Amino acid sequence: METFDFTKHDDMGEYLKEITHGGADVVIDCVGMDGKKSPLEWIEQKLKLQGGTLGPIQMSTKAVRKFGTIQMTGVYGGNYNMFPLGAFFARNITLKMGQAPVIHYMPELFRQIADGEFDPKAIITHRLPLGEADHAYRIFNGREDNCMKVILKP
Amino acid sequence: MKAVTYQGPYKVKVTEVKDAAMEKKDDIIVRITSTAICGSDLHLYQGNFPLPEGYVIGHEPMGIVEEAGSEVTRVKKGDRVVIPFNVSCGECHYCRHHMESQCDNSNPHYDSGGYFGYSEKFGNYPGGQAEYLRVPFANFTPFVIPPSCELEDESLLFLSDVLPTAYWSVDNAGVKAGDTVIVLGCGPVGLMAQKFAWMKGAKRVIGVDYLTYRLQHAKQISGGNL
Repeated sequence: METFDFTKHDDMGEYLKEITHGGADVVIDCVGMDGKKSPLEWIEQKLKLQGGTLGPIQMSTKAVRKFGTIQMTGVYGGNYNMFPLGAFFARNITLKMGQAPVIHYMPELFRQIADGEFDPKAIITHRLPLGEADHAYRIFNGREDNCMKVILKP
Repeated sequence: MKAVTYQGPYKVKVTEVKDAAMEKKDDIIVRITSTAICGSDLHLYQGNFPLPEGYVIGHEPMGIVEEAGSEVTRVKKGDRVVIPFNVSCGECHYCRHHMESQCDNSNPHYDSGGYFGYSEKFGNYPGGQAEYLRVPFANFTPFVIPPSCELEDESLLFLSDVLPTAYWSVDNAGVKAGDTVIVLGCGPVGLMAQKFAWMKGAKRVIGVDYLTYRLQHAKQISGGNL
């Protein structure tokens, strides 16, 4: 699988468009409003002038192909200024989003786990007692100690 | 009981709160055995969603049914259950058509479905990072783990959110065999979305992040280590 560090590219969206020869069929945004922010975006968000970072939206707009689909799964809230609506319209992009309707997927995904098709526990990096939630939030929020997923045990 | 409570931006604390208690005849009370912190809990933690001090956070729990209301027929005391983050009635148009995240009857505060532990706007339900959780609509909302299943909590807990959210993302985006799929973010949901995109037959999956350790995790997916 190919992976890219977007801080190593001046314009990650344009680069992704280039290497995919016009863009991906689908871009899934699993970042949302609290992705890496510019200092200005951070201040604007605290002042409620901006919902959060526009970074993933701008990247998606470029990295998806014409008539492609962008799925926003990372959480967004508030109002967004400078939302690149024209770029979506001009290239016939479909934008889908929201909180997943999870209940009807649970039996099938349970079956896949029970049958050994995959084991999601590989994403767990930290197991802590509930009483250490304060510490857990701090390292998870700070991306410290290679934190990916914390489970708490009451 | 003890629970993780919001205490202002960048502050959470485990405090003693009022015990989870039955309110309706189709409620259950679950004794939580494992509960995860979600990336979306960090929006709350950072103070980007309004939340009163003392509010109980958390929407990725599982546990054992401690008490079941008189109208509950689908689960019983002692059952092992995973609780999804959606609070859903099972009877409205949305619940009956696989759109449970927009249940019409679970959130009187806003025109959106209800979610555990995600502020007043999303239902004002206390969250699952606690010793006990009240689960409404128990004839629809919880997933009952078959008694024959011996898998540990760690393999099943992410049925609550990460797995179905990632799976739906791929499904809802219409990923099909031969597609090129770019996934922004290599956190838990991003990683699983990459995994499910491969499983759907994508010919090329690209992961983007800026944290080296997360990009390494994504690399491991293609090696089949998940």
